[in-house]
Amino acid sequence: MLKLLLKARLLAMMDRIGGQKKSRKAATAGKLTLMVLGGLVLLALICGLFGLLITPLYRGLRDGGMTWLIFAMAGALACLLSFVFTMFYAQGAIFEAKDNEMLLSMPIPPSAILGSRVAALYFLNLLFSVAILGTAGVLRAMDGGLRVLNVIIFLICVLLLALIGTTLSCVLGWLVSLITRRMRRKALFSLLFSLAFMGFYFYAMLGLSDHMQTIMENSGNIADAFRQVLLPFHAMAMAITEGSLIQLLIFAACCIVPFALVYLLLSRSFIRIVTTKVGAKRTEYKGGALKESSVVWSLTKKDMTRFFNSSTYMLNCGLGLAFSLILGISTLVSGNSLLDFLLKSYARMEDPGALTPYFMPVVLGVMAALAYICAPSISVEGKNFWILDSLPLKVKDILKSKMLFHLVIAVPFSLASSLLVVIGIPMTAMQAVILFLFPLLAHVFCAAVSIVTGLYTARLDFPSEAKAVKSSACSMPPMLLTAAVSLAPSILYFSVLQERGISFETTLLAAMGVMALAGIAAYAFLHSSAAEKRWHSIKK
Amino acid sequence: MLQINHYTKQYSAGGKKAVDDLSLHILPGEIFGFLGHNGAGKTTTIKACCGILDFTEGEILVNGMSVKKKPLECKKIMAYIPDNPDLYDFMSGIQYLNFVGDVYKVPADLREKNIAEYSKDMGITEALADKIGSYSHGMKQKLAIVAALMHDPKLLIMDEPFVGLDPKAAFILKKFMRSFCDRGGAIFFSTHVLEVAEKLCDKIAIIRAGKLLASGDIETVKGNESLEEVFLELVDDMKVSEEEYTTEEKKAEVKNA
Repeated sequence: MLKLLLKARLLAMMDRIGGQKKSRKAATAGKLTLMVLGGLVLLALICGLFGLLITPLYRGLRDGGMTWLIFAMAGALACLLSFVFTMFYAQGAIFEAKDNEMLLSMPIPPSAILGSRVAALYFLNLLFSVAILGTAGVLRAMDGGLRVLNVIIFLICVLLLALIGTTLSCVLGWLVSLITRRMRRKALFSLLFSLAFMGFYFYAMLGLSDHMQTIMENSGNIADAFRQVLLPFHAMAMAITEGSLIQLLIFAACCIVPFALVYLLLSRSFIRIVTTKVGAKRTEYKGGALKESSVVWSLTKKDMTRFFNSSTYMLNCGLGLAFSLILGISTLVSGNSLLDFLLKSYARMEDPGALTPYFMPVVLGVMAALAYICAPSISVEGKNFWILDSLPLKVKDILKSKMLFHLVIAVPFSLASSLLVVIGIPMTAMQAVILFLFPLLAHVFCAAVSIVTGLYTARLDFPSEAKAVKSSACSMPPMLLTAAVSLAPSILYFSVLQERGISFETTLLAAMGVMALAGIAAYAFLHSSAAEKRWHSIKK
Repeated sequence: MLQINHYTKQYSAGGKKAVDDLSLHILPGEIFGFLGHNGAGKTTTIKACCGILDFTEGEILVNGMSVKKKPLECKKIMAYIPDNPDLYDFMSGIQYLNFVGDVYKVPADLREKNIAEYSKDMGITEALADKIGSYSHGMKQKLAIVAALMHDPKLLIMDEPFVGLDPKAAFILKKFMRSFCDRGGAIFFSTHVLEVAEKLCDKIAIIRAGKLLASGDIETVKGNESLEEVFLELVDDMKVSEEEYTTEEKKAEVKNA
């Protein structure tokens, strides 16, 4: 039965990959191969990057005779990352899956349904184990520190480690499901959690070298913590480095017993958990005056409601807005230290000096590229497309409203970020004007490219809103083009224009002209018969 | 009010005709039922009448205006209720109704009056503040009905409107449909519930595999038999040839619309 369910999940995945093509078998096989290869390349890249990051730490610990600590820390990190990343997956795929009730109505044991879902979750967790613990293993192997027995134990540990992440994801996914069931603002909860995690991630990444140093200096204390509190990871590390079978058994017990208990508990209460309909708190409608709005504004409000009710939409298409606000706040609090760090890290520029006020709008422009809000706005209509189609709406009004929806959300963030930066660092009036206008026009440009791309890449058959939002076909063009047009002034200035005596200011003004023209061109396009024709062809 | 003249729909060039040379005429004050088995072409026809599906040949006129040439003008005086109302789950019921009111430019006082009246009739007033995503299928159907009535349309086009409705809501809808047509409106709707069609409709049309088998006054179509018997006789006889249709039509004294 479990095999059947796993096969069904695999078929569903392949169906999604295969899409609507007639020669589905060939397309699916080809795409699946490509996806597997792509996934392996990505995994290798992540391992390589992580390896580069932890090599100095590994060498330091090895020289200090504490090689095991790198494995213990890698194991703990893999668990932390895996359960954080898969917790919401567990919530959606196990406890709130749409086909739970259908499957439960069939003669399938709940444990088999749970098993098929947990298997997918385990696979995701395994990827984290391979990427992080695997990297530590490769470093050790390159040192010649792993013999055949160690390699076998290491491989078993990688497989076992994923069970800890799976167990934690199951428990936390269940808790999140319980908490959010009665919540009216689930999207906000998910958004805040994701932003907090992202904040933690960037904090960790930005000060990585300092953190590494701290770990090195406190390696003794950290080792004690692992020995006394994080016992499973200590056992795993000792098993790998010492080839100890007893430690392996201890680690295996630490992984398997909690997993088995959670699995048993969940499978026994699976029916109750997934069929308990608590629902969000009800609010009784008590009437009240209704406000009239214009058609375009009403459509805009509709899209805004959709956006603010979906954490996936906000996180994928509005991340640049959060980043720009963080840059603004950081500038207000600590001057241009964050900008200096970004320029040092990504442009290899040690001291931007007097050019700092000009770099700020460029950086804010690049952040606008990460706010391609209206790009998926047509695809997300999906099964609701009939509403727009059956109402007496002009296509140009629908498209205009989508562009307006983008700008109404992005512009306040842009203005607020610019204002914070203007207060944070000293600049001339002209520089301040550019600081306000450049990011603003970058948002106009991004909205223009987003709506045109969204129109031409729109698909109404995405299995979920999340898939439509994450579609790279609609997100890549606005993201790359906006980043390119925002960065172009800096690149052109330093490579060609500076030598010819053209100022950075003039270069920025020229880029602003290009962005404004693109916005006007897109606006004109929305009124064209080509746009209307394309709109009507979407549903075909 | 709704005139379908030689309507033909072919999904792909050279492919099978989903609907073939269909002609119907729905007058003001009429409830017109559209019957047929699954895949007969009912929804395809209904969607074309609403201007959301293009068609290959023929003409569809709403109040004398071509759906193809003046889709917006046609949509302004009609309302469509689909068989499976996929509404905006992220909106509350009242937000959705207000959105529809904005699109049809319904004055605030009239939309408040209509929402209060129709929501009460449908029994969804208290749930209007909740997200549509939390509604049951029947509640969504009721909300779609209230939304469709917001702008006082002259023509109502409904695809299986009774699916998912509880007995009380179905009763209210039937009563509303009658009073709507008595006030001069016209209703064109598809249904599988033959009893409803028999009791409610002034005229019916029966379609099979995209071809019109019978249409006209309900009494004329069914003659002395029950509608169920006539329907099964016409639709279930899969061996009936094109020539036999004529015989069947004669037998049932069918008048083409």
